[in-house]
Amino acid sequence: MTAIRSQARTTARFAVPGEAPLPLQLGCQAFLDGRAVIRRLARELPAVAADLIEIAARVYAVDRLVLRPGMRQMRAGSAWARNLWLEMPVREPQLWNAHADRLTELLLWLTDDIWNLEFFQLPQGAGPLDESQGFLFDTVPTGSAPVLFSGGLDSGAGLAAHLLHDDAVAISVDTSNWMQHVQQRVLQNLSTVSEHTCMSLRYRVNLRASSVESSQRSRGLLFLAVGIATAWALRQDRLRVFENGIGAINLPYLRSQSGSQATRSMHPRTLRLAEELAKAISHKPFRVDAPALTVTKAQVVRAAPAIAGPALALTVSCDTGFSARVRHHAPCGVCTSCLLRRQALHAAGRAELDAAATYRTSSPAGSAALQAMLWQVARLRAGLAQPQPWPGLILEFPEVLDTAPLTPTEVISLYRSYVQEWEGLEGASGIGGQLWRQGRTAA
Amino acid sequence: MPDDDRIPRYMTASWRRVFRCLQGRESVERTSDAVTRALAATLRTAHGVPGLHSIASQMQDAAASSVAQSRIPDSEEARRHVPADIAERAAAALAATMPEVLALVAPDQAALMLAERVLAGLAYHFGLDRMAPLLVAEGTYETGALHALLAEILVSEQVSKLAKRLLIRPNGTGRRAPRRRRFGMPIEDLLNADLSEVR
Repeated sequence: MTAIRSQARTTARFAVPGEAPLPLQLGCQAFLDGRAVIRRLARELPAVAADLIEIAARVYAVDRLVLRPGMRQMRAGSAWARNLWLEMPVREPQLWNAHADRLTELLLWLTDDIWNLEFFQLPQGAGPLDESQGFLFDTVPTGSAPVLFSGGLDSGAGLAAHLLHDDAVAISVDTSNWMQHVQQRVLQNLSTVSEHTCMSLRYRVNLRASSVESSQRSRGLLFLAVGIATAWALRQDRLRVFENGIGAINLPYLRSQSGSQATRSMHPRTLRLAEELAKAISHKPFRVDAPALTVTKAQVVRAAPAIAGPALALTVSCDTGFSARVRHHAPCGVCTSCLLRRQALHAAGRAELDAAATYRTSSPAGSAALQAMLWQVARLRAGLAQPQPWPGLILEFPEVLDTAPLTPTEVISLYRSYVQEWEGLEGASGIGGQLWRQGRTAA
Repeated sequence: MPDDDRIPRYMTASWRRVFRCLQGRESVERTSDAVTRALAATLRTAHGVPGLHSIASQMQDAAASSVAQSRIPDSEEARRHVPADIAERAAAALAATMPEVLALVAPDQAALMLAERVLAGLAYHFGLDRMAPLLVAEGTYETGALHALLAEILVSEQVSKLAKRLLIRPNGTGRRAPRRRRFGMPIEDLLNADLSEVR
């Protein structure tokens, strides 16, 4: 009986309206492993930090276990939002219940879903991030900046530039062995960039139950949660992310996209809401520093040292590049993420890094994603060409109203650079020129 | 971090008709008729924008306050219903870009401005932006020309009439595209007209 009650008190439950709650236990339906981080730091995570990571892992699991409305419903005007109820155990239930609104606001923005979150007391030592073993030595590096590292081009290039001047602690989450392998290889290569050191701290999160929903819009919360929580464990009050402005703001390519169909994982508003949540639950100042928000992906690549080339070539940007089901894990070459990477490498004068990659589809010819991207470029050009570019941009892309704290001048400058980069590819030979010409054969 | 953006591309039969009009470089008049019919069908199936008048009123208030918002009023309904989301975005865009105009016009006029912008948003969401990249890629149009053509279609008289009707019944029930009044050509002109002009 005691065992049953104890199990009940450590198991989260989730439900959608009109259906009975289902259990969600980390270690059963979903898997969270932070032992490598805790042992590397030789220090327990602060209670609120462990809570934050476990909450994010559970939210991520529910996000993947509940199907969004199908195309038929969406044709009738329904958005793809869901109503989700999630009850979970935490170490500080009063604190989390008091700040549930902030978390649901962040989740609403990230996922478009209406989340109803409830928290109850987790028994001491019963969380997946609780460590029973004591620690003899404190090995936390002092003064190293915690940075989020995903294994993508932005984080690789940003980290390479950062290591020229400073040490870093690269914090990552992997959801598969391949992702872990890529992240490790990139970090190993980056260690040769300068004499500054880069310590790697990795978490593993994945689903054991088969997932039904592939959109996983809460992934941004997962990344930011491990970043913020680990920064706290490192006794730091800031986290650095290197996402470029174009990818972070991620304006819809077509107006057929609504809400978070254009992902917002590292959107300026996401970072601001995460920052506010961190401050509220820790009662301390905290800052998510995103120095690349005002520059394009090509500018991020250009700022990386040339010596980092081999490391950047190993990074993965593809939507399906980390998927275990893809043969040889080759990137597709034609999704919006691959195309933005390829555009950036060519615009940054690092075409050799693109040429070195083996894509599943080598030519972007006929790619619907490329056509959509170039249509977006045409609309950006039209908006920016107005006598008053900011209102012009707003009327074409009302979503730019969400980009605070960036100023209108910064946003205009960002998109002017992006449009110019595309136009600069017009006369280029090889795939760079193809990228531009493919979508506008009639021009 | 890979994005996995979702880009809906499916078009209903009425929007495919518009696509064929544009592919065949039909006249602006014919294409705008097809767009108006497709919009009316979309309003019926997507249940219109029931809160249109309320959004328009809050848009004028927001324009007067000069605080830029990304959605007006940022309701829960907009998370569940695409036309409501489009309307709230359109209201925010108008409030941010035309505060002086919205301060001067009567509520009915502001509502009409919003309704026209909502129809444009719906047209792009359910049809025009799904077909535009295809039309450019297959070489039917150059991007700038297509951009201008779509804008011209969306300010046509037919679309404007539909906007007025939407204000009368915002939930879209039974909404039909307005009929175009056609005037017969005088016999003398008809005899001298080119065959392509009398389709």
